[in-house]
Amino acid sequence: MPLARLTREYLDGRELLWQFVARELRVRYHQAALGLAWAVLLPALFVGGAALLRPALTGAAPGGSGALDTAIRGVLWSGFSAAIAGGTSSLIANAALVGKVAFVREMLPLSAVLAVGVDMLVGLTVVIAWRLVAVGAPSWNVLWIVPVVLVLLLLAAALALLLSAAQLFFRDVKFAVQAALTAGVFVTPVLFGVEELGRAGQWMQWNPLTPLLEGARIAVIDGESLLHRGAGGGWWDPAALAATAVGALVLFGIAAVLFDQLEDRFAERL
Amino acid sequence: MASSRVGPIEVEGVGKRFRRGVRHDSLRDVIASWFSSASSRDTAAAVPRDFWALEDVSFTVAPGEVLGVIGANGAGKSTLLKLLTRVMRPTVGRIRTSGRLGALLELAAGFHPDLSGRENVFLQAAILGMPQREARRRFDEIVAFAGVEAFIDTPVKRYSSGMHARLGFSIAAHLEPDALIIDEVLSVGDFQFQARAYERMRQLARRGIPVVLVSHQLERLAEFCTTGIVLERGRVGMTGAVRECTAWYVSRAATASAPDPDAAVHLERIVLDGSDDVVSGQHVTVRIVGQVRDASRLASVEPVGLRLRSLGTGEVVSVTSSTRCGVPITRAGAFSLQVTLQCNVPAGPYAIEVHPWDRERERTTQPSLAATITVRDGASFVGRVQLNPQMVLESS
Repeated sequence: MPLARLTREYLDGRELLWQFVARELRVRYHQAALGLAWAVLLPALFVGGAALLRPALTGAAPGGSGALDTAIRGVLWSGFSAAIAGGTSSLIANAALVGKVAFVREMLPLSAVLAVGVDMLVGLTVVIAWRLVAVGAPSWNVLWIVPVVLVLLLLAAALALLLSAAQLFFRDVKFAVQAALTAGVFVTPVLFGVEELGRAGQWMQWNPLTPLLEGARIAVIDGESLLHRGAGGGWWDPAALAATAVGALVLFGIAAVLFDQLEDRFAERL
Repeated sequence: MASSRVGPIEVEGVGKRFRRGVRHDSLRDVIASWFSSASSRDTAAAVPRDFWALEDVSFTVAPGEVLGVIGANGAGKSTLLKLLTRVMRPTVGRIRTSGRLGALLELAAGFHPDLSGRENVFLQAAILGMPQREARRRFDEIVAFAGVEAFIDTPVKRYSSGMHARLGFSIAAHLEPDALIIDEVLSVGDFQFQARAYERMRQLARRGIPVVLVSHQLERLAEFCTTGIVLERGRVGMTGAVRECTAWYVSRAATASAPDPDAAVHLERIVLDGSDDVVSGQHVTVRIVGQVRDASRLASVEPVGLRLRSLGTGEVVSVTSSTRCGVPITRAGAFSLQVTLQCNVPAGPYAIEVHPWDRERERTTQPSLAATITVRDGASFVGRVQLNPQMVLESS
């Protein structure tokens, strides 16, 4: 039974996963003098940028809650794109290891995603703290952020598994991924929400990331429950989030099986 | 003691095919090929040819056995190692091992230069499949064996290459494996560390697990292994006792690859008279059986050329021949020649190689036949040559 074997393999690899995540974080933070400041800087840029840019674009009064909306979506989006980029190059970046030692190689792309997840946690903390100061304490609905982030990481992990393997077979996957991520920001509600974008926003509802980014905004900034249809200004549908979650799970299953099938040939392709 | 999961390493009919050249290395190529059917004609010429790095390789290493893998560069040793350690899977055939597989190769592949020695120990241990609990328990032992206690919290990029390799070896050597694969990694570290590393490997092997060792140092192989296998262009050339394998490999590498069918002389066999175990300074006798096929060409042919070759170094230490020894072989037909040699050489494994020698073309006309002997230290001398010292006390 391949699924049982794969599950066992992933379970066997968990200590390795933590070691890889720890390596990633240590190298990123513990050597850099600025430490955690790097992780705080990114959401701060989003909030600051949005606070300045949004009024200029919409004519609204500066400093409204719209800046927070953009910040939380920005943290999730940049986390997602960093996870995909890091995950894609994770095998090739460890070529010496992958080509010469047998280990649970799945843990490399997964650890790249999880390490970004830690950054994302720091960013979310900053945004939530900002909300606390700017508009007061959030409701318990803020906890919806947990499943939203988990689904986002699952989706990123599935793509990281697929793309990291593909990168070994086609050297230009990295560039295709960069192009896709650059284009992605235009079809994902990052700077403006679905509601604000009007017709374009309706199209963006088909983007599997939309329920995650908007769900995070509704839970954390609006403080509403994600179970209510029409939450967060009218368009919200819990089914969209459920669909993304199921889709991410199925994609992860497919990615895990494909990765396992291709793994035999990794050492030859390096 | 080794755990109950210990079992043999079994390799059955294993082959590994590589594709020479890669047809499409990028998405761009793939997409381009969809649009131009014409260019697919062109690429047909560049379609990769298959190349078998290993073919039909079978052997078994029983628990407690140490198998030495011998072969020239490109013979398939590295591919075999990668298959045994499951970095790659064979194209055909099967490899079975049981329990935890230890591998002493690519010792520091998982090290990150910016992390401290301590952090790298746990990282590398996890990569090799050692549970963190065990890594914590054995941490002090690992660090002490590597002799890097004072630098354990220093980033490994500040380590010397020797410290790097020592720490890598130490982690791998503390895995307590149920089967062990060793590459020629011990050319790293100074000679004291090499001695300790070999001692550690010997300890591991003595636990009754199957061990596979790949090395170019024939002396080490002969000393360390019980059995051997010689790979030749991806195939098994020879298996058997390790001494026989090193002898076969060395003499084969040194002489004509195929017998000349028109040769004036053909040697059939070489037989050792008595034991292959000789004390330095003592005599050994061999009998060489052959046939003169064309007596008219004997003027330009040395019927029996003899070389004594050290299997430790591959070096020929002495050369002689039937003509030099004043033995005339002049008549057509079968002959038998008895040769006695005084082994005035230091201890070690040797091959007595014989072959007809064509003086005009300056080459052997058939692969050498060889008998192997082990010269043992008679304890009367130290050095490169046995002088058969005879000392008489005249007064005291």
